[in-house]
Amino acid sequence: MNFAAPLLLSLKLSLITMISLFIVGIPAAYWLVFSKARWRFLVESVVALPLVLPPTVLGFYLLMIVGGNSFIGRWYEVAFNKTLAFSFEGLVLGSLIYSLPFAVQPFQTAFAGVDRKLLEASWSLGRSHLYTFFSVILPLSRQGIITGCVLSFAHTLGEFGVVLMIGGNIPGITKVASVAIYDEVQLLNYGSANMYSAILLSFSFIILAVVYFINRRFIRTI
Amino acid sequence: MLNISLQKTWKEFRLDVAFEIPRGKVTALFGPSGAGKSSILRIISGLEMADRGMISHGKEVWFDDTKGISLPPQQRSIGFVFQDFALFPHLTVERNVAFGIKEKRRLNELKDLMSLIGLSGYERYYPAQLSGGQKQRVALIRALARKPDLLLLDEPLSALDWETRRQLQEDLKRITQQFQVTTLYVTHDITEVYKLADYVVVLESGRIVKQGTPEEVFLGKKLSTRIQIVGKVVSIESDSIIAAVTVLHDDQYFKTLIDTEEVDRLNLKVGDDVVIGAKSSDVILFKVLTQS
Repeated sequence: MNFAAPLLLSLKLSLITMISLFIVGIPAAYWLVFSKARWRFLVESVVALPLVLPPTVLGFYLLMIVGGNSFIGRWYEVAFNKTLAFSFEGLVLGSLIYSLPFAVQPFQTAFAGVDRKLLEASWSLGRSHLYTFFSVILPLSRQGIITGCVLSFAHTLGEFGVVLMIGGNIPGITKVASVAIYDEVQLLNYGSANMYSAILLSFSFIILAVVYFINRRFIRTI
Repeated sequence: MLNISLQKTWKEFRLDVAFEIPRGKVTALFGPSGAGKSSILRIISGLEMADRGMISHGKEVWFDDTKGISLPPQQRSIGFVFQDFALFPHLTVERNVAFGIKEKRRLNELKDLMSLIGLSGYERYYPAQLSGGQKQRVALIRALARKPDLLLLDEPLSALDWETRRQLQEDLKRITQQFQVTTLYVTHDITEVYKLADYVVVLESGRIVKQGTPEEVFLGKKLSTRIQIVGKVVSIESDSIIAAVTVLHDDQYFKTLIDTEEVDRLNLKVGDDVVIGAKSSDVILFKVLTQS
């Protein structure tokens, strides 16, 4: 079996998840910070759920939602002629939800940390909320955004339970590095398991070290 | 002319005011902290909303609760100068000043604006590299750059030290006169009112208690003196008949003698703001000889 395939798949999944979370997480974080809706706390709780839920619980429900018997699962099958569960796309969806708080919370903290006076100054200078967001909030939230992106990347790299539940263990499609380790141990191939583990360990350590280095506010952010 | 009438109730505070801001003049909103001055400014700018009332600028209605009109700050032609400057820390001085300018061709005016506030050469500096006085100059010119109909200043000098404050008072006077912009100036410093304002509205616990020219408001009458010095009492030395009162104005001391009775009647204390007036008909004037 190709040794590098699970690692590359993990990297691909993490990268796509990170980019998707950047796109989804920024408007979500903006809404959570600036919305005056009373039920905001409910959305906030839902976003934070993956932090406390066992990955298997999340994976189980996701499987129920995207499986062949569900509405979404059937719709996807008709539209794309393949199942969402046990596919790479399904993995992306699972990772997206699983890593959501790791992106949204640092974004949220960063947006909330921008001095409100600066926003008011921008509005009073005739600039729209959208312009203010791109010209003031986003550049001043750079650290939090980098933190959120890197954390969601690293977290996706290390996920296991959700991936196994929703994606199974299909080589080249859903067999990511963390699953490969489990596999190798089952087969008593401790050498390969050790290699995968060492690579994941060093990679995660390097990523975190870089984040800590460029962003001293890391601890306050998360 | 800006017509303002507004009411707003917070938990334990009620604001209920109505006044006018004459066009092209500087109107000071004066009162102790907690009187509601800054709230009025925020409501006029559209950053906060009143419960009831009306704000109109000429024929343009900015706020009218009966008609459900409330323009957002972006649609009110205002310039807002905050107490703590609120400069964008990630933008250079030049880009801060240009922030509100939407027409590309007007960017040519930046150079003139920068020299007007004495910041030529500082275009590429970041706010963190500037002194407090320079920051507030940038904030002032940023607010004026988009040529607002109304300039709102929220205690713009209170975060600055005494010397810088004095210089900026001069700058403010020069610049507001040059731009001829209708200005509402929030302050709790009586010397600033005298120095800068044409009119003053005095606010106490959410209500207007007096309004008029600074002389009318603070002295109760138009003063017919020719020489007036506004300052702070720094010492009172009195015996039973006469008292020597020393007043600090800018960085100069003025000593004047008045009846001790008068000191008692006015309940004059060190730290009070006072006006020294003199009706002098034969003032001697010297030209200062400078060596060239």
